[in-house]
Amino acid sequence: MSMRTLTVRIKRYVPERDRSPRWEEFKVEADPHDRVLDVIQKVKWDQDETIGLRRSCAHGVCGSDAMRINGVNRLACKVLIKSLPSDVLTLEPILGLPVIKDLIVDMKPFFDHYKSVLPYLINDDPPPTTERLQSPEERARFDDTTRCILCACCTAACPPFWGDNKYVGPAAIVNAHRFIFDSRDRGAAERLDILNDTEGVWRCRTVFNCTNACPREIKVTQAIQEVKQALLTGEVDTHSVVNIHQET
Amino acid sequence: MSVYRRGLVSRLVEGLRYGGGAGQWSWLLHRITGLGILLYLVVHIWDTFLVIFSPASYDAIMGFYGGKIHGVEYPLLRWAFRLGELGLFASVVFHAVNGLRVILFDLSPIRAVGAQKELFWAVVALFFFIMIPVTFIVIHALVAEPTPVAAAIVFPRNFVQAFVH
Repeated sequence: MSMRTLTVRIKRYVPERDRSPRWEEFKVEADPHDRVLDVIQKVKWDQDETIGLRRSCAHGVCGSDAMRINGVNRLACKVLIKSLPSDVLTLEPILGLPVIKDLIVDMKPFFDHYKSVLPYLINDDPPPTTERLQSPEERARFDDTTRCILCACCTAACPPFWGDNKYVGPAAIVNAHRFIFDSRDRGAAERLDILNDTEGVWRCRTVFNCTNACPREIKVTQAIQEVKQALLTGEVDTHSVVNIHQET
Repeated sequence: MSVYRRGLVSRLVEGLRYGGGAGQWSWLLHRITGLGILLYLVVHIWDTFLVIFSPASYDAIMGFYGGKIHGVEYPLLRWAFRLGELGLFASVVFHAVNGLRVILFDLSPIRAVGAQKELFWAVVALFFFIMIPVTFIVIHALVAEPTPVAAAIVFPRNFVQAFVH
């Protein structure tokens, strides 16, 4: 495949210079096998070194480079240039979080919500002489939600979160789900109590933007609905295998 | 550190620009139709309340809804209210049918949620299945001079009024 000349439109916000974000345009020669992250780096290295972005692993694992790419939340390191429908590439910071500079947002509110659901193993039972054993079925019960990388693609795609940033948001619920449905954990009641708050799971309006945005293909809305059902029925089933991979 | 926080208008504009799928649009329509129905109910409860406290104003308002101001017919006004009624009917139908879809997500977190796109198209199909004949009836009665029978079907309020007086 031949090189493509892209028009890269970046929503810039430099706090020392701008009162509100504004568009800036760059022309870049890009290989179809390049990723959007490579294109941004090219602009930064060759044309304007002041462009601000977060990146770390650059391979879809660390979750640093979530941004709006052509209007939807994606990881810049996972979108290939050949998948772009046109030669115009628009890049904007994710919504719902304060913009620090250009494509960098303040993730503190996001991580505060994450911490609020106690995202760690709670078990005060006396430790057994061996490991805390778990059957493969019990492990499979929450496998889907273990894959979250906390990139904020889901929470920043959620209209109820845009309107009310006190809502814990999809990512926090996904991480609560990971422990609520873990047979080794004893903190389900405590977490369900936190999520039963008006700013908990009931803010979810099943918009499905989170599920569509997740770069790890986690069934986010399904996880939220499972937590809602646990609250409605008062039962947490940590044993039934939810065969998520055969669903689609 | 001076960060940029979006105001209400900016959040609304940026939110509408977000490339959400069928789920986002059905959610937005559900909200808008819900608010529309609420607005209608406020007006409707207020005008019905006048029946007891001021029957003359009630009659004047009913005439206004039918396109008459001080006994003078205004066809455009009549059209506006009939089409408004059609919009109200469409809002109620969409809100009800999509509401069933949302309830299914709560009842069946795995199967219904997994089939959300198919369910959305089912909502669209059912909506048009109901709305196409209803639209035909309303428009037909508007274009043809409304006979008393057609008026009774399309404007049940007039029908009730005939019994009241």
